[in-house]
Amino acid sequence: MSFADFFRDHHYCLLTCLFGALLFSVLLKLFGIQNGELFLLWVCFVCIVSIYLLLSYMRLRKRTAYLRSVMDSLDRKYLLAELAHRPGSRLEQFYFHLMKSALKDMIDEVAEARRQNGEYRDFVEQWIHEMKIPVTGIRLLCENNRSDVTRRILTQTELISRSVERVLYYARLGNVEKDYFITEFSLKECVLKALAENKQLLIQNRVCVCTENLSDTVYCDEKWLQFILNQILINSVKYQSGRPLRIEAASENFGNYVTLSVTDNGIGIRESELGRVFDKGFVGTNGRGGQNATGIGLYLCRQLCEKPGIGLEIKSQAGEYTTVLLHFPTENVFPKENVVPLSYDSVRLNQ
Amino acid sequence: MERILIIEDEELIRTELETLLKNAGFSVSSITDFDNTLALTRAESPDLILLDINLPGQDGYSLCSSIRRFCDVPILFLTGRNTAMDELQALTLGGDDFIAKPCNIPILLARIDRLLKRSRKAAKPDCLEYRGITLHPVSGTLRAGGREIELTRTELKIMYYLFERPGQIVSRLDLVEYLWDNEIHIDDNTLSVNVMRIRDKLRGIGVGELIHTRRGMGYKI
Repeated sequence: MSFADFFRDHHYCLLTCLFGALLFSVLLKLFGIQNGELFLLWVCFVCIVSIYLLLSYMRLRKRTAYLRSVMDSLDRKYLLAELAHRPGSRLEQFYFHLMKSALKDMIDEVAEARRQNGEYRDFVEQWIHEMKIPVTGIRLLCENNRSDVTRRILTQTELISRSVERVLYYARLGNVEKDYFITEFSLKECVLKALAENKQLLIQNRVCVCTENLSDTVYCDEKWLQFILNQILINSVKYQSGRPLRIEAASENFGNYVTLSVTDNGIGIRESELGRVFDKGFVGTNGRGGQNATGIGLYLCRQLCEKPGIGLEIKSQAGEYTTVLLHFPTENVFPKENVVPLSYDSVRLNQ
Repeated sequence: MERILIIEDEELIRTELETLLKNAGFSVSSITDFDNTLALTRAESPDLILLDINLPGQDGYSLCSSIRRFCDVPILFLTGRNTAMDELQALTLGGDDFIAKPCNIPILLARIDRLLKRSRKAAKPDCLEYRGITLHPVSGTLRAGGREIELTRTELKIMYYLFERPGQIVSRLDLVEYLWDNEIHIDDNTLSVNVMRIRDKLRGIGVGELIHTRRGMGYKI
């Protein structure tokens, strides 16, 4: 708080002093006091008022500086009232008390919202795990009784599992660290797993997939990458053109990063929309054209890529192709000794 | 025949797993009384255990470490929980592999196969024969009347599937699905092209009529 501000806050008090002094000067003059003595009285009075102002300004400054420093050092700003010393003046104490109860109420509110959110998230996760039991049952039933009907049922079941999985990852977005588990694994294995997961969907859509040029290994969470690949594959199938669908997955090592590219020959994305495909809820021209686009798949992918520092990029030409590129940082970023070698593959290799 | 023990409390999944594994040529038993799982397991002494984590009574983790105390039979965890921590715990407590539900069936079978390989004695025959024509999967060749042709990976898989089912009509979808399970991701048209190429090669060694096409049904040898 500057002195000018302080002065402005006290101008009524000063005006009262000035008015009083003038009144008393006139009265004293009428009582017959000399000019010289009157002047002396004025000097004394001004001195007393200035000293009072200066002292209280300094005290106020000290207090505001203290409060500011407490505020700056706090992570959670709303805890200010809990941590600052109690003030001296009665008025400030009153304000302080008001603020404290207001913030306390807020803190309770936040805690309650957090708790509810956590509970809801736990419930969703629990529910997803429960969903897996009937889905597994259906899969086994279909696998044991193969026919065209069960194949169609399997395709629908794949759809269910994918939607359920999406909910799981969305629920987990908030506490990514809890579930993120970096291992070294081969991109080829991961892509093959994603293909196996979507087998029925891909076969029924007469897709050809080329996985010849996939040889690199990356450091990442395998489950997450598989989830991301699922989204990419589903998009390829959703947005296919009239031509037979070809998907090519390839990887390339650029020294400090490895790039995985998934290219399809689908309808592509308009250039004007390329920048927005990762936005939550964005449904482009393609999505509005009848496909059941939700605008959530690619958004989730980007969110999942952000934390571990994977670069996600889309290149496309409308009517020609779409390429999704994933750039994985190599060991320069994750020092080798910090990596727990515990994917399925590394365990198998160790045996 | 290898014996697999299923420890799973969901009845439908248990019975379907039994059917699946029996069809895959294993001898299967399962535990229905979860009060003394451990004693039953010890009595069964199986070649492989499929273990769920959420069980009534003792859970899968502690069961796994108890089993490890008396034998080191391969244990494959099959569970709905799929966080990294679950996986880590399963593997550190002595599990050999971990598959999350809903699992992919071919992958499940492949994992079981790999775990059993260590204790397996009898090897598969190294060639398949049908009417004097032999298929050698290891060298990727096919012989008839003293002459030999080489097959590509895709062609070999197609022939292998047909040779395993002599006289049966194999639907194109089954064949495509089999190829996908073997990491060859092709579509229906590419399958036709491959079969055409195989026929060309077969003609070269005088057995051009080996593969029959049944319109609308599939292939047959």
